[in-house]
Amino acid sequence: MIEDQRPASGDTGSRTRTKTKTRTRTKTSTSTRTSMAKCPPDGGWGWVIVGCCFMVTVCTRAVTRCFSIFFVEFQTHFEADYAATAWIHSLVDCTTMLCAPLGSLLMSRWSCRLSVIVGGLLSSCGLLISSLSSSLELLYFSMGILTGLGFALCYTPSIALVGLYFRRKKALAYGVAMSGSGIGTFVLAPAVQLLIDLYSWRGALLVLSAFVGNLCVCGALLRPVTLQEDTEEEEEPTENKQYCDNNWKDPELAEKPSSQSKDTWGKTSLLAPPHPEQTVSAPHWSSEYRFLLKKDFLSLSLSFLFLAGGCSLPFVYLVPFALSVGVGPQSAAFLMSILGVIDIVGNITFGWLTDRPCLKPWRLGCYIISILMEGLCCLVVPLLHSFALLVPFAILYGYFDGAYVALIPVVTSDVVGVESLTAALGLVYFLHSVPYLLSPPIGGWLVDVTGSYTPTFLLSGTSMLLSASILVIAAGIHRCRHKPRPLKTINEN
Amino acid sequence: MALSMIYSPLLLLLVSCSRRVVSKTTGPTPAPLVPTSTLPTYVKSVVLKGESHTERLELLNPVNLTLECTWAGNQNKEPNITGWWLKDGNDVPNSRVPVELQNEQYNLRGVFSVNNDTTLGNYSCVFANEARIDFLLEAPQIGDVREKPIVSYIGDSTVITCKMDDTKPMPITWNWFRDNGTEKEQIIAESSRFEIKNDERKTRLVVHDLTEEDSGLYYCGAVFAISTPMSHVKLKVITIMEPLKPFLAILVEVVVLVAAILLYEKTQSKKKATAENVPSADQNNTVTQEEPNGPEGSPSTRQRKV
Repeated sequence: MIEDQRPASGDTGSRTRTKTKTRTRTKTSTSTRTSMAKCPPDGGWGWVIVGCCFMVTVCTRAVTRCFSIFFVEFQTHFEADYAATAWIHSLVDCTTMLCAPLGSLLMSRWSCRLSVIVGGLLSSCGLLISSLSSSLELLYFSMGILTGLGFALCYTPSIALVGLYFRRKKALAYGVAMSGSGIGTFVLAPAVQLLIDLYSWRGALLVLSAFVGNLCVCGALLRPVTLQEDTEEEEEPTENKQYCDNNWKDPELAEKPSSQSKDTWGKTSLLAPPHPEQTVSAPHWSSEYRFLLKKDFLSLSLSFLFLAGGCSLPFVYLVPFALSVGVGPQSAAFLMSILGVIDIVGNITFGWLTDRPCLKPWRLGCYIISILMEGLCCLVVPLLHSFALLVPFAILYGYFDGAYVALIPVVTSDVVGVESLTAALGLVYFLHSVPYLLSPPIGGWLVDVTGSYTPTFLLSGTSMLLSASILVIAAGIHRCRHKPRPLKTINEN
Repeated sequence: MALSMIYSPLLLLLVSCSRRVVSKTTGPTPAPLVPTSTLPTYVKSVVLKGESHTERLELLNPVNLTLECTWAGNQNKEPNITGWWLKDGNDVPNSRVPVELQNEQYNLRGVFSVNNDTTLGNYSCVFANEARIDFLLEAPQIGDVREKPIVSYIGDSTVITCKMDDTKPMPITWNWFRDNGTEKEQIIAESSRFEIKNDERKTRLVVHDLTEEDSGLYYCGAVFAISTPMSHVKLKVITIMEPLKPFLAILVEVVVLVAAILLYEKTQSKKKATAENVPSADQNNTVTQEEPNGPEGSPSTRQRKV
């Protein structure tokens, strides 16, 4: 696999390789180039990157979910109540998402590798300090903020890098990578419980801090990629081909004269040259953040805001709702397990599905449909009053939840293009943070005020339907404006 | 002739004894134990449907307990059967009485003074070995007993808790005991290392400066007027070495892997730099549009990312 990308020989190997889609290095040059973007490798080292991103998701998202197992121990040891200990989980989640732009900034300035390794060290230290902690306030800082910051520096860069390595199989790659949170929770939850039984919470946090150190290993494997143009025709749908073209329209970006592309550019880059924006100080801000002005991205971010507001509520309130309608505690816990497992299935299968050539042009449509289905499921929940009725809800909701989680980075990269994917993803996850933090307490307040779970689920469902409808309206407006041209060319700036 | 002379006095004795026994039990059933007048009384009646039944009674304070059993009888419906009481499977002395069939039912009644631990237990009324009602007398039991041991570290402090269910009555106070090999020894709160915080339904034992000898069973007792039901928790004190072993193992794995990967990447990049410098010189000659800066600039830019 490694030999594919880095041939020891020079020209002969490279000439054959330019016929296929391999990465080649880019050069900075003073002359203008008329390059056509060489597309991402779609395999090879890319699958190692997917594996690393999977581990990063396990070590960040799954570990965050396992923190709630510690709360009972903290409550006894520090003589605190549930609300005080639950702050730790909110702090980690919020910090991970809030500092996502910081992660993408670090990735653009230096490299993905550095960002993830630093993030791994930070979160490891955070958990180490937590294991020695003697007060709940120190836990808020070390286990909440420090660990959350470390996770933020790892999460966004690794996801962005997957997008840079894949084009044809992007949705499948993302599906596999994002399934880490589901599979990780499945495996880590009993493991963490066992650690607590054996070593108490201090020892468990100590071992967990070493486990989270594996983020550094994943970071070391995240080889940066440079994209270069490929003159070959492909059967890619135009929108994919188009952002291959988009990449290298900017003269600051490293390019190669097309005449030399077949002769000298066969050598794939092992260590990529610095990101083009790195060489220029002032103009790169505008080129990197140009996507902010795109109307597509603005409508997408608005829809993400509503989506994040609605999607976390069912996870928090499904079990209490099931208990309130008479489902037993074991069955209610089983519902959550079904949700978790089907989530993983949804991640991978939906990713594979939306990579099929027939569905690829309609990826945004598939994303909209999955959000619509989720919203409709939530609206129907108040009518489901038995375990037998709640099981299909758990299956459907879990499947489409996995589906949209795998598609978020794909849709984002479709809209903003590969060059701005890093910055855009940082912003997307930042937009998730505040609704994630605010919506469960608002849902709880609704339950307290009205005495039933119906308004909470209605809020969740409406929020998601709103998110889907914003995208439908935006797509509709777009279609009307650009009627003579095909829908997929979106070149506004 | 001689034999009947020996047996007849014996027979007379037997008859007189049995007559005496019969006369003792023909009247209303007397109480097997003498009740004290200071205790309150409580009556519990159970009608048996079927062959056996168990009734649980939770007692907080000493009482004079009157237990009444009623049995509808079987197909035979004999006019007189024998009934007696058992405590924890043993016969209660002087409790065996004949029971008459009244209104198609058999009634058996016993009065017991229940005032301490020994008098609590399983009282059963038995009808002629055919029907039985069990009365389980006990003080409120402490629910949710923690089966897994509490683990803590030498020098650290730990908190052991006991909680009485919200559905059960509140104890007067809580006591803590430590297993001393042979018996349970009460832990005194005033000693420096132990702190007891009682909170009506909950109690907390805080132990500071743990040592290995502190490992073992700890008992919390909920004090009621009648008895002190107990629950136990196991404490295990370990050294920091125990979790340190997996921690160091994983840390070593991480450091080795990171070093190996970075080293590998660095050597590969150096190899690539030397490999590319050679053909780039050729490229300069063959391609006319090639810029002089290009190939020479590339090795430095290429190596910037590690």
